[in-house]
Amino acid sequence: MREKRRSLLVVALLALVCALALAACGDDDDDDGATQTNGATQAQQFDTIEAGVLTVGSDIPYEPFEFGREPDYEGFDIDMVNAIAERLGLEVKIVKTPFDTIFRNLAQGRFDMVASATTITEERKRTVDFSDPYFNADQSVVVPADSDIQSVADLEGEVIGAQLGTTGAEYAQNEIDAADVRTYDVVDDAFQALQAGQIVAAIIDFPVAKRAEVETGDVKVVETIQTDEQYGFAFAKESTALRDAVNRALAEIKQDGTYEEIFRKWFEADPPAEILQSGSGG
Amino acid sequence: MDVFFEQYFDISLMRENFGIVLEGFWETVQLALISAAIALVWGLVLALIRQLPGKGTAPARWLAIAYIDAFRGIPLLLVVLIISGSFPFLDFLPEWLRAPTWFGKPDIFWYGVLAIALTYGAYYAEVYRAGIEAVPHGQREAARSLGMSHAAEMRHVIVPQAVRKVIPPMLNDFIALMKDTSLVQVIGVVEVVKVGREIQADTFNSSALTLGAILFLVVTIPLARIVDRQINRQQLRLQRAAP
Repeated sequence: MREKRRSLLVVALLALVCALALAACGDDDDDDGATQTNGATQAQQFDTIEAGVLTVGSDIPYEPFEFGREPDYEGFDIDMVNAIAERLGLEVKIVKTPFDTIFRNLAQGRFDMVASATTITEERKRTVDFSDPYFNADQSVVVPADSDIQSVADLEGEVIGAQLGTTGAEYAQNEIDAADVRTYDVVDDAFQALQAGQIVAAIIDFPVAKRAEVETGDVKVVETIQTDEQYGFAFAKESTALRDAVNRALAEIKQDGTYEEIFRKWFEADPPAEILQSGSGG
Repeated sequence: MDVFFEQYFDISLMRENFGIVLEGFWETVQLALISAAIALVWGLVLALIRQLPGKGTAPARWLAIAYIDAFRGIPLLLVVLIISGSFPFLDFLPEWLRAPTWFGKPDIFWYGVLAIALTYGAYYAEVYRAGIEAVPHGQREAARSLGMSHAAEMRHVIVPQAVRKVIPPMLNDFIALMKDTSLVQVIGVVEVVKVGREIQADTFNSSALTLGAILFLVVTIPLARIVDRQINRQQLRLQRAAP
C-alpha cells in the first residue's frame, strides 16, 4: 500500500514539475520599457512596455480594419499602426484581445496602445485617452441577404444582435425598441447568428458590415445609421508622451499622402477632408 | 490593491445592478434545473441500457458505452456550439423542434438545455453505474432465485438501492452542472455571468461579476453541506449494519 502511494506521489510531482517548466518556457517579455530615443524623426521620449516595440491591442478579426492570421495581420488599422510605428522608430507587436475588456486591459498596462476601430466616446475617455480621430464611421443595420427588413423602424419588437462592448450594442440597447438585444463576443458570431436566423438584424459599424456584404453576399446592409462616430487610437491615461508622439506621427501621415494611400487601398475612395484636417498633431 | 477592490467590490454598483444580476441568476437556475431533470432521467436510461443482459443486446450496450465515452470526452462548450450552429440548418426537423420557443424561452435556451442534458446524462449514467455495481451481488442472486426477470430485478431491487447510494455524487454533479450553465452565454443566452460581462462592458467595472459569484455561492455552499450530511448519514448506516 505504501509503495503505491509513493509512486502516485512521484507521478503527481513529476506532472507538476513538467507543467511549471512548460509555463516558464513560454513567452517572457515583460521588460520595463526603457526611455528610448530610437533615432525617430522626432527625438521624443516615451515609455513602451517593451523597449523599441509598440505593443498594440486589437480585437481580431474586424474586417477590413484588422483581420488575418498571426503573424500576417492585415487591415486598415494594421497599416496605420505600421506607418505610425515607422515614424516613431518602433517595431510593432499586435496582441489579439477580446473587445469587451480591451479598454480595461489597456488601462492596466497590457498594451501601449489600442488600435481596434474604437470609437471615441465620453464614457471611454473616463478610462482611457484617445489620439486625434483617424476615421469617420457610422452604424448600420445588417440583415440576411433574403430579408424583408428595410430600416431601423422594422426592428421594433424583433430580436437583434450586436458585438459586446461596442457603440453598436449601445445604440441597439438604447435607441431601438427591440424585443431582445443579444450581444456576442466576436463580430463574426453576430454574422453567424444572423445567418442561422437567431437574430433578424445586427447593428454593426458600417465599414465592417459593408465589407461582409461585399465579401460573402450572405448579408446586406439596409440602412446606415448616422452616428457621426470617429475612431481614435486609445492609450492609458499615463501615456501622455506616447499619445502626443502618435498624434504627431498621425498628423504627418495625414499630410504627406500616406493616409490617402492607405484609405484608398481599403476603401477605394477618397478620404474625407474632415479627417485629413483634424488634429493638431500634439 | 485599491484598484482591485474598486474594480471588483464596488458596493454601490452591485446595489444598482442587483435586480438585473438576479434576473440573470434566475436564468441560470432555470437552465440548471431543467437540464438536470432531463439528464437525471436520460442518465438512468443509458445506465440501464448498459446493464442489459444477453448477447442479442450487445449492440445496444456498445452504443450506450460509445455515447457515454463521447459526451464525457468532448468539452461541453463544443457541444453547445455544435448544436446551436447546426440545428437551424437541419431541414428534416419540424420547425417546432428545430428552433423551439417552448414556454416563452428562445431557441438558444433550449439548445443550451439539450447540450447540457446530453453531456451530463453521460456523467450521470456513470454515477448510476457505480451505484448499480455497488449493490451487493447477494441481492441479485436473491432476486434471481425468486424468479424475477431482469427488468423486475432492476426495477424493484437494484435501482432503488443504487439510487440511494449515489445521491452525494449526484448532488456534486448537479453543482458542477449549475456552474457549467454559464457556457451557454456564447450562443447568446443571458445568464448571470453574461449579465456581469455586459455590465462590465458598459461601466468598465467588474463588480457585477463578483455579485454573480456571490449568488452562486449562496446556492452551492448549502448544497455542498447537504452532500456532506448525506455522506455522513450513509457512513453511520453502514457502520451500524456492519457485523
